Amino acid sequence: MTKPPHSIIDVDRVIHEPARLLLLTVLLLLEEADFTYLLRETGLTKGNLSSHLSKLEAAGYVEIEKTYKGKVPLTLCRITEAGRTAFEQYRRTLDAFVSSLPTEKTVGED
Amino acid sequence: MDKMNDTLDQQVRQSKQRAMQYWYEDGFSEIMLGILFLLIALFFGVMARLPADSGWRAAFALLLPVLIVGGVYGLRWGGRRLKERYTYPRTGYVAYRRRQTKSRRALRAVAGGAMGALVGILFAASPASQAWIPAVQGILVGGLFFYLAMRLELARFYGLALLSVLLGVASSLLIGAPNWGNAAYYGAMSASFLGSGLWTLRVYLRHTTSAQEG
Repeated sequence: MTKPPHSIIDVDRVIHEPARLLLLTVLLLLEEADFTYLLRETGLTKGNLSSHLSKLEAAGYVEIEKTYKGKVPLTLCRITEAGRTAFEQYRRTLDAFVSSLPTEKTVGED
Repeated sequence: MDKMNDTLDQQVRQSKQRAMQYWYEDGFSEIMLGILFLLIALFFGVMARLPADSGWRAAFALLLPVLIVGGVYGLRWGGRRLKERYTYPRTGYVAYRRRQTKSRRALRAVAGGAMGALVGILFAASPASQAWIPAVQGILVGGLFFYLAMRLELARFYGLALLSVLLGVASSLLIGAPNWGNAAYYGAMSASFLGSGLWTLRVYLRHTTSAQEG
Protein backbone atom coordinates (compact mmCIF):
# COMPACT_ATOMS: atom_id res chain seq x y z
CA MET A 1 0.00 0.00 0.00
CA THR A 2 1.39 3.37 -0.94
CA LYS A 3 1.84 6.16 1.57
CA PRO A 4 -0.98 8.77 1.36
CA PRO A 5 0.20 11.97 -0.33
CA HIS A 6 -0.34 14.15 2.77
CA SER A 7 3.40 14.99 2.94
CA ILE A 8 2.70 17.87 0.55
CA ILE A 9 0.91 19.67 3.41
CA ASP A 10 4.27 19.87 5.19
CA VAL A 11 5.84 21.72 2.28
CA ASP A 12 7.60 24.98 3.17
CA ARG A 13 5.13 27.66 2.09
CA VAL A 14 7.76 30.40 2.10
CA ILE A 15 9.58 28.55 -0.70
CA HIS A 16 6.50 27.12 -2.40
CA GLU A 17 5.46 30.53 -3.77
CA PRO A 18 6.69 30.56 -7.44
CA ALA A 19 8.47 33.93 -7.33
CA ARG A 20 10.34 33.04 -4.12
CA LEU A 21 11.17 29.59 -5.48
CA LEU A 22 12.64 31.23 -8.58
CA LEU A 23 14.61 33.70 -6.44
CA LEU A 24 16.09 30.91 -4.32
CA THR A 25 16.92 28.89 -7.44
CA VAL A 26 18.85 31.84 -8.88
CA LEU A 27 20.68 32.59 -5.61
CA LEU A 28 21.42 28.92 -4.94
CA LEU A 29 24.11 28.87 -7.62
CA LEU A 30 25.73 32.20 -6.86
CA GLU A 31 27.86 33.62 -4.09
CA GLU A 32 25.81 36.82 -4.22
CA ALA A 33 23.80 38.92 -6.64
CA ASP A 34 22.51 42.46 -6.60
CA PHE A 35 18.95 43.72 -6.90
CA THR A 36 19.38 44.69 -10.58
CA TYR A 37 20.48 41.18 -11.58
CA LEU A 38 17.61 39.57 -9.66
CA LEU A 39 15.12 41.97 -11.30
CA ARG A 40 16.35 40.91 -14.71
CA GLU A 41 16.46 37.19 -13.95
CA THR A 42 13.05 36.95 -12.31
CA GLY A 43 11.14 39.50 -14.40
CA LEU A 44 9.42 40.78 -11.24
CA THR A 45 8.64 44.42 -10.59
CA LYS A 46 10.84 46.30 -8.10
CA GLY A 47 8.07 46.30 -5.49
CA ASN A 48 7.34 42.60 -5.89
CA LEU A 49 10.98 41.64 -5.78
CA SER A 50 11.55 43.74 -2.69
CA SER A 51 8.54 42.17 -0.96
CA HIS A 52 9.57 38.59 -1.77
CA LEU A 53 13.15 39.23 -0.70
CA SER A 54 11.90 40.63 2.61
CA LYS A 55 9.86 37.46 3.19
CA LEU A 56 12.85 35.25 2.42
CA GLU A 57 15.00 37.39 4.70
CA ALA A 58 12.44 37.16 7.52
CA ALA A 59 12.50 33.36 7.16
CA GLY A 60 16.30 33.45 7.45
CA TYR A 61 16.77 32.03 3.94
CA VAL A 62 18.40 35.09 2.42
CA GLU A 63 20.82 37.72 3.69
CA ILE A 64 20.41 41.26 2.38
CA GLU A 65 23.16 43.84 2.59
CA LYS A 66 22.31 47.42 1.70
CA THR A 67 25.31 49.48 0.73
CA TYR A 68 26.41 52.17 -1.74
CA LYS A 69 28.63 52.05 -4.79
CA GLY A 70 29.66 55.67 -5.08
CA LYS A 71 26.31 57.46 -4.80
CA VAL A 72 24.29 54.57 -6.21
CA PRO A 73 22.48 52.32 -3.72
CA LEU A 74 23.50 48.68 -3.98
CA THR A 75 21.49 45.81 -2.51
CA LEU A 76 23.42 42.56 -2.30
CA CYS A 77 21.54 39.33 -1.71
CA ARG A 78 22.91 35.93 -0.82
CA ILE A 79 21.33 32.65 0.19
CA THR A 80 22.06 31.48 3.74
CA GLU A 81 22.93 27.96 4.86
CA ALA A 82 19.39 27.70 6.28
CA GLY A 83 18.09 28.71 2.84
CA ARG A 84 20.09 25.98 1.13
CA THR A 85 18.91 23.37 3.63
CA ALA A 86 15.28 24.53 3.28
CA PHE A 87 15.52 24.36 -0.52
CA GLU A 88 16.88 20.80 -0.39
CA GLN A 89 14.17 19.82 2.10
CA TYR A 90 11.54 21.35 -0.21
CA ARG A 91 12.93 19.36 -3.11
CA ARG A 92 12.81 16.14 -1.08
CA THR A 93 9.23 16.81 0.09
CA LEU A 94 8.17 17.42 -3.49
CA ASP A 95 9.97 14.26 -4.59
CA ALA A 96 8.28 12.17 -1.91
CA PHE A 97 4.88 13.60 -2.81
CA VAL A 98 5.29 12.96 -6.53
CA SER A 99 6.48 9.38 -6.02
CA SER A 100 3.60 8.64 -3.60
CA LEU A 101 0.99 9.49 -6.23
CA PRO A 102 -0.60 6.60 -8.13
CA THR A 103 0.44 6.37 -11.76
CA GLU A 104 -2.17 6.34 -14.56
CA LYS A 105 -1.54 2.59 -14.97
CA THR A 106 -2.22 1.72 -11.30
CA VAL A 107 -5.38 3.88 -11.27
CA GLY A 108 -6.61 1.95 -14.30
CA GLU A 109 -5.93 -1.39 -12.54
CA ASP A 110 -8.04 -0.35 -9.52
CA MET B 1 3.81 12.86 -12.84
CA ASP B 2 7.53 13.41 -12.46
CA LYS B 3 6.98 16.59 -14.43
CA MET B 4 6.79 18.70 -11.25
CA ASN B 5 10.25 17.70 -10.12
CA ASP B 6 11.64 17.64 -13.66
CA THR B 7 10.52 21.25 -13.99
CA LEU B 8 12.29 22.19 -10.74
CA ASP B 9 15.49 20.43 -11.83
CA GLN B 10 15.22 22.03 -15.25
CA GLN B 11 14.76 25.44 -13.64
CA VAL B 12 17.89 24.91 -11.51
CA ARG B 13 19.86 23.84 -14.60
CA GLN B 14 18.62 26.81 -16.63
CA SER B 15 19.46 29.26 -13.84
CA LYS B 16 22.95 27.82 -13.65
CA GLN B 17 23.43 28.09 -17.39
CA ARG B 18 22.07 31.63 -17.50
CA ALA B 19 24.38 32.67 -14.65
CA MET B 20 27.37 31.25 -16.54
CA GLN B 21 26.25 32.79 -19.86
CA TYR B 22 25.97 36.15 -18.10
CA TRP B 23 29.76 36.30 -17.72
CA TYR B 24 30.17 36.26 -21.51
CA GLU B 25 27.17 38.43 -22.37
CA ASP B 26 29.08 41.73 -22.62
CA GLY B 27 32.00 40.43 -24.70
CA PHE B 28 34.65 41.74 -22.29
CA SER B 29 36.12 38.26 -21.70
CA GLU B 30 36.75 37.85 -25.45
CA ILE B 31 38.19 41.37 -25.71
CA MET B 32 40.60 40.62 -22.84
CA LEU B 33 41.56 37.29 -24.43
CA GLY B 34 42.07 39.11 -27.73
CA ILE B 35 44.50 41.53 -26.05
CA LEU B 36 46.38 38.62 -24.42
CA PHE B 37 46.65 36.81 -27.78
CA LEU B 38 47.85 40.04 -29.40
CA LEU B 39 50.65 40.33 -26.81
CA ILE B 40 51.62 36.70 -27.43
CA ALA B 41 51.58 37.31 -31.21
CA LEU B 42 53.90 40.31 -30.73
CA PHE B 43 56.16 38.16 -28.57
CA PHE B 44 56.49 35.51 -31.29
CA GLY B 45 56.91 38.23 -33.94
CA VAL B 46 59.88 39.67 -32.02
CA MET B 47 61.26 36.15 -31.43
CA ALA B 48 61.14 35.46 -35.16
CA ARG B 49 63.09 38.65 -35.90
CA LEU B 50 65.84 38.05 -33.36
CA PRO B 51 68.86 36.17 -34.74
CA ALA B 52 68.95 32.46 -33.90
CA ASP B 53 71.47 31.39 -31.21
CA SER B 54 71.75 34.96 -29.91
CA GLY B 55 71.80 35.67 -26.18
CA TRP B 56 69.04 38.25 -26.64
CA ARG B 57 66.76 35.64 -28.11
CA ALA B 58 67.36 33.19 -25.23
CA ALA B 59 66.75 35.97 -22.69
CA PHE B 60 63.66 37.18 -24.53
CA ALA B 61 62.24 33.63 -24.64
CA LEU B 62 62.09 33.67 -20.83
CA LEU B 63 59.54 36.49 -21.05
CA LEU B 64 56.79 34.20 -22.40
CA PRO B 65 55.69 32.65 -19.06
CA VAL B 66 55.88 36.10 -17.41
CA LEU B 67 53.80 37.54 -20.25
CA ILE B 68 51.18 34.80 -20.00
CA VAL B 69 50.87 34.78 -16.19
CA GLY B 70 51.10 38.58 -15.87
CA GLY B 71 48.75 39.04 -18.82
CA VAL B 72 46.13 36.68 -17.38
CA TYR B 73 46.15 38.46 -14.00
CA GLY B 74 46.36 41.96 -15.47
CA LEU B 75 43.60 41.39 -17.99
CA ARG B 76 41.41 39.68 -15.41
CA TRP B 77 41.79 42.80 -13.26
CA GLY B 78 41.05 45.01 -16.28
CA GLY B 79 38.03 42.90 -17.23
CA ARG B 80 36.62 43.27 -13.72
CA ARG B 81 37.06 47.06 -13.81
CA LEU B 82 35.29 47.21 -17.18
CA LYS B 83 32.42 45.09 -15.89
CA GLU B 84 32.10 47.34 -12.86
CA ARG B 85 31.99 50.38 -15.13
CA TYR B 86 29.69 49.11 -17.91
CA THR B 87 28.01 45.80 -17.10
CA TYR B 88 26.99 45.86 -13.43
CA PRO B 89 25.20 49.25 -13.60
CA ARG B 90 23.21 47.94 -16.59
CA THR B 91 22.28 44.36 -15.90
CA GLY B 92 23.48 43.75 -12.35
CA TYR B 93 26.33 42.31 -10.38
CA VAL B 94 26.86 38.63 -9.58
CA ALA B 95 29.65 36.82 -7.78
CA TYR B 96 30.03 33.16 -8.67
CA ARG B 97 30.47 30.40 -6.14
CA ARG B 98 34.06 29.28 -5.58
CA ARG B 99 33.20 25.70 -6.52
CA GLN B 100 32.66 26.82 -10.11
CA THR B 101 35.97 28.69 -10.08
CA LYS B 102 37.76 25.52 -8.95
CA SER B 103 36.29 23.48 -11.78
CA ARG B 104 37.32 26.17 -14.25
CA ARG B 105 40.83 26.19 -12.80
CA ALA B 106 40.99 22.41 -13.13
CA LEU B 107 39.84 22.67 -16.74
CA ARG B 108 42.48 25.32 -17.48
CA ALA B 109 45.17 23.21 -15.79
CA VAL B 110 44.20 20.15 -17.86
CA ALA B 111 44.09 22.20 -21.09
CA GLY B 112 47.41 23.90 -20.27
CA GLY B 113 49.01 20.58 -19.31
CA ALA B 114 47.78 18.89 -22.49
CA MET B 115 49.03 21.79 -24.60
CA GLY B 116 52.42 21.78 -22.86
CA ALA B 117 52.77 18.01 -23.18
CA LEU B 118 51.86 17.99 -26.88
CA VAL B 119 54.17 20.89 -27.69
CA GLY B 120 56.94 19.19 -25.67
CA ILE B 121 56.45 15.93 -27.57
CA LEU B 122 56.56 17.82 -30.88
CA PHE B 123 59.75 19.61 -29.90
CA ALA B 124 61.37 16.37 -28.83
CA ALA B 125 60.23 14.37 -31.87
CA SER B 126 61.90 16.41 -34.57
CA PRO B 127 62.65 20.03 -35.43
CA ALA B 128 60.50 19.71 -38.57
CA SER B 129 57.43 18.91 -36.47
CA GLN B 130 57.74 22.29 -34.72
CA ALA B 131 55.95 23.74 -37.72
CA TRP B 132 52.83 21.93 -36.44
CA ILE B 133 52.82 23.73 -33.09
CA PRO B 134 50.31 26.40 -34.28
CA ALA B 135 47.99 23.61 -35.48
CA VAL B 136 48.20 21.82 -32.12
CA GLN B 137 47.49 25.07 -30.25
CA GLY B 138 44.64 25.84 -32.63
CA ILE B 139 43.07 22.44 -32.01
CA LEU B 140 43.44 22.74 -28.22
CA VAL B 141 42.05 26.29 -28.05
CA GLY B 142 39.31 25.21 -30.47
CA GLY B 143 38.49 22.21 -28.26
CA LEU B 144 38.21 24.47 -25.22
CA PHE B 145 35.86 26.84 -27.02
CA PHE B 146 33.83 23.94 -28.40
CA TYR B 147 33.40 22.64 -24.84
CA LEU B 148 32.36 26.11 -23.62
CA ALA B 149 29.96 26.51 -26.55
CA MET B 150 28.29 23.19 -25.74
CA ARG B 151 28.12 23.84 -22.01
CA LEU B 152 26.86 27.39 -22.25
CA GLU B 153 24.94 27.05 -25.52
CA LEU B 154 26.73 30.09 -26.96
CA ALA B 155 26.62 29.88 -30.75
CA ARG B 156 29.45 32.38 -31.37
CA PHE B 157 31.86 30.14 -29.43
CA TYR B 158 31.30 27.36 -32.00
CA GLY B 159 32.46 29.84 -34.63
CA LEU B 160 35.53 30.77 -32.59
CA ALA B 161 36.32 27.07 -32.03
CA LEU B 162 36.16 26.39 -35.76
CA LEU B 163 38.22 29.49 -36.56
CA SER B 164 40.89 28.46 -34.06
CA VAL B 165 41.30 25.04 -35.66
CA LEU B 166 41.31 26.44 -39.22
CA LEU B 167 43.74 29.27 -38.41
CA GLY B 168 46.05 26.93 -36.48
CA VAL B 169 46.21 24.39 -39.31
CA ALA B 170 46.54 27.14 -41.93
CA SER B 171 49.41 28.80 -40.00
CA SER B 172 51.23 25.45 -39.86
CA LEU B 173 50.65 24.60 -43.50
CA LEU B 174 51.32 28.00 -45.02
CA ILE B 175 54.10 29.26 -42.76
CA GLY B 176 56.88 26.81 -42.10
CA ALA B 177 58.84 28.74 -39.44
CA PRO B 178 57.39 27.98 -35.97
CA ASN B 179 57.77 31.52 -34.54
CA TRP B 180 56.16 33.18 -37.57
CA GLY B 181 53.49 30.46 -37.55
CA ASN B 182 52.74 31.13 -33.89
CA ALA B 183 52.73 34.89 -34.49
CA ALA B 184 50.28 34.42 -37.38
CA TYR B 185 47.99 32.09 -35.40
CA TYR B 186 47.90 34.28 -32.27
CA GLY B 187 47.55 37.45 -34.33
CA ALA B 188 44.66 36.07 -36.36
CA MET B 189 42.95 34.64 -33.27
CA SER B 190 43.45 37.96 -31.48
CA ALA B 191 41.63 39.71 -34.32
CA SER B 192 38.86 37.07 -34.15
CA PHE B 193 38.43 37.43 -30.37
CA LEU B 194 38.52 41.23 -30.54
CA GLY B 195 36.02 41.25 -33.43
CA SER B 196 33.65 38.86 -31.67
CA GLY B 197 34.03 40.63 -28.32
CA LEU B 198 33.53 44.14 -29.71
CA TRP B 199 30.50 43.04 -31.72
CA THR B 200 29.00 41.36 -28.62
CA LEU B 201 29.73 44.48 -26.56
CA ARG B 202 28.08 46.69 -29.19
CA VAL B 203 24.94 44.53 -29.16
CA TYR B 204 24.96 44.42 -25.36
CA LEU B 205 25.29 48.20 -24.98
CA ARG B 206 22.55 48.77 -27.57
CA HIS B 207 20.08 46.54 -25.75
CA THR B 208 20.76 47.64 -22.21
CA THR B 209 20.64 50.91 -20.34
CA SER B 210 22.18 51.87 -17.04
CA ALA B 211 19.57 50.99 -14.42
CA GLN B 212 19.77 52.57 -11.00
CA GLU B 213 18.04 50.94 -8.07
CA GLY B 214 14.88 52.55 -6.92
